[in-house]
Amino acid sequence: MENKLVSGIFGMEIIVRGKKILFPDTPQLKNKRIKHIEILNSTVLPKTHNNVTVVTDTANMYLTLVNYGSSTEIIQELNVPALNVNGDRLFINKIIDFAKSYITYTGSENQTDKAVFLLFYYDEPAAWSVINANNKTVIKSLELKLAQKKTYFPFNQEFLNRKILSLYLMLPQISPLGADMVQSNHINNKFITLSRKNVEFMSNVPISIFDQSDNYYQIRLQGVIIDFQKSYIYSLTETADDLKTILFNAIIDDNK
Amino acid sequence: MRIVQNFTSIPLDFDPADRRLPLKFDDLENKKIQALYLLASIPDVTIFSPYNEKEITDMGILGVEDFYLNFVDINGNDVVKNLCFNMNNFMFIAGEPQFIEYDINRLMDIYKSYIQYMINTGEHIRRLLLNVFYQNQNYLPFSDEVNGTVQFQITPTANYQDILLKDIVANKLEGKRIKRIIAKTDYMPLLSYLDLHTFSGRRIENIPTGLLSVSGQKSIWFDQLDIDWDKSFFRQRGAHSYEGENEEMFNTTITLTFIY
Repeated sequence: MENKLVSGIFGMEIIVRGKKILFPDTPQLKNKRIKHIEILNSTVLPKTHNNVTVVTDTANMYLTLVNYGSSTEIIQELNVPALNVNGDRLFINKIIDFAKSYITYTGSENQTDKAVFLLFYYDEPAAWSVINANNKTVIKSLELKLAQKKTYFPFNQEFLNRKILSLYLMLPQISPLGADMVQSNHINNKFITLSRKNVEFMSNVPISIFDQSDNYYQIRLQGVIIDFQKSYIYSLTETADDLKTILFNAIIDDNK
Repeated sequence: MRIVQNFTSIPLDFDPADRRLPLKFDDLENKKIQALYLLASIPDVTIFSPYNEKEITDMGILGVEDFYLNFVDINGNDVVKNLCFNMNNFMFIAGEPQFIEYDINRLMDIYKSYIQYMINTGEHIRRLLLNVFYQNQNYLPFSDEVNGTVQFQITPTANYQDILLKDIVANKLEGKRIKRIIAKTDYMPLLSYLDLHTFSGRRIENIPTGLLSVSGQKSIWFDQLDIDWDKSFFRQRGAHSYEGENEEMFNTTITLTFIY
């Protein structure tokens, strides 16, 4: 089955302190319907957006999620690698009580002060749009020259009020405008935050998850509209190889 | 899953001395185009164009080159602006699902649409196949329910060979509406095309059989093809080029499974 439509993605850093790993207080996800959860291991993401080293052993981690309101354990000790098998994400579709949910670690490695990094894919009504189903789309390119650690997108007339269905990180050598591009070995330390009407509906999301053209199961966005001037890419480092241009291709709904 | 009603392959020659290739092809005019892709070869094999013995360029050469599709519709709208085709987004003859799925469903202004590209190394022309999915009539009601399958094996005896499908299929699929064809071989990749005529005006013109080996979410289905087997061909167009390899490698057997 394909992934569900989502309109929010939240990158959560969970610091390991002991065998029972508790979730941080996360107001952004309060009362949100979680569609999918994905774990990123240290190969995909060596450091979180706060520069914390990501745990290496996720195979010995087990997730327990408690349903908000009922205190029912909707997921009991699920081995976390099952959350994402080549982009094929489990459909959770629940509102989660994060204060009562946790991850247990049964391995022997010292993971203290490292971080588990989870992505929560959810419904964010502030960003989503109704999508008609007759498959009329346009494709636009979105270039951003990284100038510093945190680079905001400029105003973009082409994307104004446009409903985005998919985002793809492309990795060319040279952009259409002739700029030198960030190469594949420098994308796993960059995070994107996208906003709509002062709501961050994508927060601290590694841009590498959008390098998905070879993926059978792609991230499907529910017509999200971006306010670009409140949206940015954050790079953990700012070497000459980091401060180059990023290119996305966006598939945009064009049903009238 | 893509439901294909019509398909054509157009060989494109990219001259390193130039930067833009206009898409002024009669085959693209007045067709409601669903999607366009560039198809490349892979190292260690040779695959020819479906129309002659000119080789398709392999990705080993294309590794650092970028191609950008710009599609303007007949109303002057920029429908596709700088869709990047590179190592991340070429279709490969090996049938890897390394491409972006999209649908634009528009008539192209062939005089304003083009591919921008930059070839920084070498002086050789890059030859790629433009794969075009398009619609020219209403779709028939679709169901992926399998009503029957028939499997055939083809063993080409030359690197460049056309085999009439009637000689393979005989009457076993007479009157059947084909909704999927799965191509497989023991030795990947598939270096061939299927050129299908139908009685109803649908046309699958030289679809690389590698694309028919893609499974899962990106698999290719058809808009219930009523194939005219007397006019349809399997076209072998290539050879493996592993050093020291024997004849068996490129005389390998291809299995075609027709699902109706």
